[in-house]
Amino acid sequence: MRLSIQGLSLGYGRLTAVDDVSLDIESGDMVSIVGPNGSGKSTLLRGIGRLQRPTRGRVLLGETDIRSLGARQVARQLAVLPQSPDGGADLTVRELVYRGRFPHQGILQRLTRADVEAVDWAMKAADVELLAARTLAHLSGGERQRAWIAMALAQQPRVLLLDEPTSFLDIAHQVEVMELLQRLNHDGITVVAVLHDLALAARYTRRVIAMREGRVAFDGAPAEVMEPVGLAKVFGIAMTVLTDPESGLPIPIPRSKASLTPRDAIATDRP
Amino acid sequence: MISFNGRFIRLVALPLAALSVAAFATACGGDDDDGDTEPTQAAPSASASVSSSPPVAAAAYPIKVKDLLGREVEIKSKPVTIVAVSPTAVELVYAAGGKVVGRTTTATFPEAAKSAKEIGTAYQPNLEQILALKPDLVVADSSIHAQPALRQPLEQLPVPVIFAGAESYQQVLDALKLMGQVFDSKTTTDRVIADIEKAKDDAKKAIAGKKVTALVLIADRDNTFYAAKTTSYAGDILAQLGIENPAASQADSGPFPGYTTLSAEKLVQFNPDYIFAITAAPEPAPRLATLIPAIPPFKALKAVTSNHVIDAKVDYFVQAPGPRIIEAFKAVAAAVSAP
Amino acid sequence: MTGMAAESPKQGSALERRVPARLAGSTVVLLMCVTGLLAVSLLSMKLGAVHLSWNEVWSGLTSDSEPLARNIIWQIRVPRLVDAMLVGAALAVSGALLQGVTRNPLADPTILGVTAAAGLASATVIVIDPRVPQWAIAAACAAGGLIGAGVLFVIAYRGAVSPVRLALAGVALSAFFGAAIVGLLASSRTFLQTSLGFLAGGLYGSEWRDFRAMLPYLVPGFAAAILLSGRLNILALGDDVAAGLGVVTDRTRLAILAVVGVLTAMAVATAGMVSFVGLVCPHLARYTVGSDNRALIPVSALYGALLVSIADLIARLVISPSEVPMGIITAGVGAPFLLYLVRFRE
Repeated sequence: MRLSIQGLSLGYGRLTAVDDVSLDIESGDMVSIVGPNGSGKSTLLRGIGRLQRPTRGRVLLGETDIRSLGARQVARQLAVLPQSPDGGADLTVRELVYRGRFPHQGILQRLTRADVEAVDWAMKAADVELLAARTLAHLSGGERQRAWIAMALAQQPRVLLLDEPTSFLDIAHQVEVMELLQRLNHDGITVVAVLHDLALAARYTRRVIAMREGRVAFDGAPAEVMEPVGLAKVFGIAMTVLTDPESGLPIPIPRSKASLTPRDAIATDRP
Repeated sequence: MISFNGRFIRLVALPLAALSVAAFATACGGDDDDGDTEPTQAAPSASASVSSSPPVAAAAYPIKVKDLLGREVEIKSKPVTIVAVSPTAVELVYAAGGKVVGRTTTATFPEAAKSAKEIGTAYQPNLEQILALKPDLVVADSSIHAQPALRQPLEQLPVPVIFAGAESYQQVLDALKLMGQVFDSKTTTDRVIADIEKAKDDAKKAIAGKKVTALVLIADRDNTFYAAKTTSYAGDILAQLGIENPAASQADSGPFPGYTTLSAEKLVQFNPDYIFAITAAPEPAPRLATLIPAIPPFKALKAVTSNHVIDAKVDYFVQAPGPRIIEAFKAVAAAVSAP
Repeated sequence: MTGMAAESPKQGSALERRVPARLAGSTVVLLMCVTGLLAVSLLSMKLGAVHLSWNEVWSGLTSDSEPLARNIIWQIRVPRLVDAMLVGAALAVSGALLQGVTRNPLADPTILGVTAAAGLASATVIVIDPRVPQWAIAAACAAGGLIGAGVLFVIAYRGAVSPVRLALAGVALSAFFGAAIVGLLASSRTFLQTSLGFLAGGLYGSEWRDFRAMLPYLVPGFAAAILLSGRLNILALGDDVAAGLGVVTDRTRLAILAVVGVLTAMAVATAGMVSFVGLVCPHLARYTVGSDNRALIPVSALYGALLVSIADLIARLVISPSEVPMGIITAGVGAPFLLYLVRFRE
């Protein structure tokens, strides 16, 4: 199920946050969206996830404009997790994951066998089965994030959109969450995550889209697009890009915030 | 949003509709006495006179009467066990030769009424206690109980209810005529009416064409003065005697129907010959009639300097409009005719 | 994969799967509530300004043999009891919906101005034409309640969501409408004496007429509340999460506020401006069955019916044959409870 973003623009009042972005995300892609604060990456995700009405352009899920579908219909195929969700603190993990079945339920929300199976699968996939009876407030950051991901999985989506799923998590939990996303992607779910950590983006995603001032600055495999000049243009800071000897993937390292011209010599040990 | 598809209709809307209909049917069925008598004429106003329909030639029961709220009520037989829900109502019953078994707490006139059971206040009569006395007639007050919060509970009692009260001289007479019909005691009530008319004529004679101005004043807890207009009971008493009321042309204002808020300046401007001061609070609260002369701006008023500020009894002028209007006429006449 | 050694937890009994787990453990409390309602009902039929013996209650209920008992029970006490329970249930459900939609445990229809809006409509209609029938008063109240809820929505939800703005808007509306009501009643020249009952909330004189007037609004109102409870659960997770799950947040909020407007209006039409029921009962219900609205809303209704019927019974008895306005009793219970909430619970 391809996601086609066509000429999408989004704004808040007179401010344009996303300016005429066109992309195609293929089924099974593992994509990260990076960029500095205010670059529009979160807004782009919200536009794709039908959380915000675009000022121009459209998003197609397969062949259909998502705005022409009902919100529940879209939610059955596409799950969106906002940044640091703070609701539901007094729910148990199981109760939270059950909420994820809402798009599939009828008016009276009777529990069906399909619901139970989906919840079981989601909790297993997100590895929160042992936490089922604990309340969200009593979980660690990483556990809580996995619980929310389980809820999103209960929607049985083809596409999973996440806004900064690793913010405020310590390094171990960040890895935990990214490995989970990788596994899900392996199982066939298209994953699009806004990430603030370039190293995570390079390590765990196969396609990095960088945003700057509402437009796409670069878009491609990490090894190709994460190079000093491009990164400096997007982030406004000089970077050294090393290569991880194990995986061959780039590791961007920030240097000083110096003024930049394309001719500035920037150290690199890449061949 | 809820999708109103076929499933919704089958699962939800139809059962709900059925439930509503069933509940409605039960509610309507369980209620024998609907008590929904809508009045057949406009709301009563103090100045308009409401005439009762003349009785059928033979005064035998059952009779249909029209009470002071314009309601048609059927009286099946001569009422014997009566509950009256205001001081006026009590006095009207006794004036017609009846007696009450239940009365409101402040209705202690005439003396014979004191032994009746208290059934709450006029503004919150206890419906259960009224029923417990098994009355065959409830006499309510057309001025006090006109408002729906009080009228509806009384009307829905499974007992005939008559609303009789007075906000003017004419209404006192009409109420008495109504009572005469209800109790088949026209001779008794006609006599009372005659006494009232005589008292009025006597008072007029005593005043003997003196051209005087007078105000009827009452004060609230904040010591704001209100003057009676001719649309009020007290004001009408003055008007019947031909006494000029400077407040008559003022606009209605303040919370008391038929009274207008009177500022100190206006009182000084009107400078009436007589002031009838009503004190609502019982003894030992100070009488308004003694307070007014002590207030500096009023010391130069004609009524004060000539000692014509009269303490008017609240029962006669405000609280219990009815047969004791005779006392009111006497009091006014005594004050005005004195040198 | 991490930590898969232990066996996955069992699915739990069928009951637990059908409703949140906490309900199973609270059955005892719920049974106590239902028993409480039965007890209050029986006592309400027996006690009053005229005390009836149990025999008289029975024959009054079932036969014509004692006309006095029958009249008192069927014309006065039963309709008043039914009205009390419905008023309580309507206010409690309104409170539960408001606490959910504002995500504020201190929300209730009185605090947010909906009660006052309905009350203003009622006072206006009565002052214009005192002879207006009860069904028209109910309709006017419904309009007032809807307008109050609508104004609340417009003020608080222009563009972005804000529970805080909603709460502040409610306080302002409550003050504004409340002042208008007092002004209207004080100058109305006719209703001064009974305005206390209206302002504090009381069921004096309530009867089958009130029941019939309320019912066409209560039935769809309660039904809608139950149907919206699932969506309210989702809204509680946050606007973005809710949108991601397919809930159209603004429309759902509008629908919930509309239901609150109508239910509150019916309570006001029958009992005047009762306060605190909508605040207290959802908390009691939450303590009993948790915050899942699918259980919370019906159980709040239960607590509401219980609270108001008990308060009304006390109101009728404590200075019999006079009555204390029932709203004074609910405030007397509710205000300390509110203080307790603010002080001890978070």
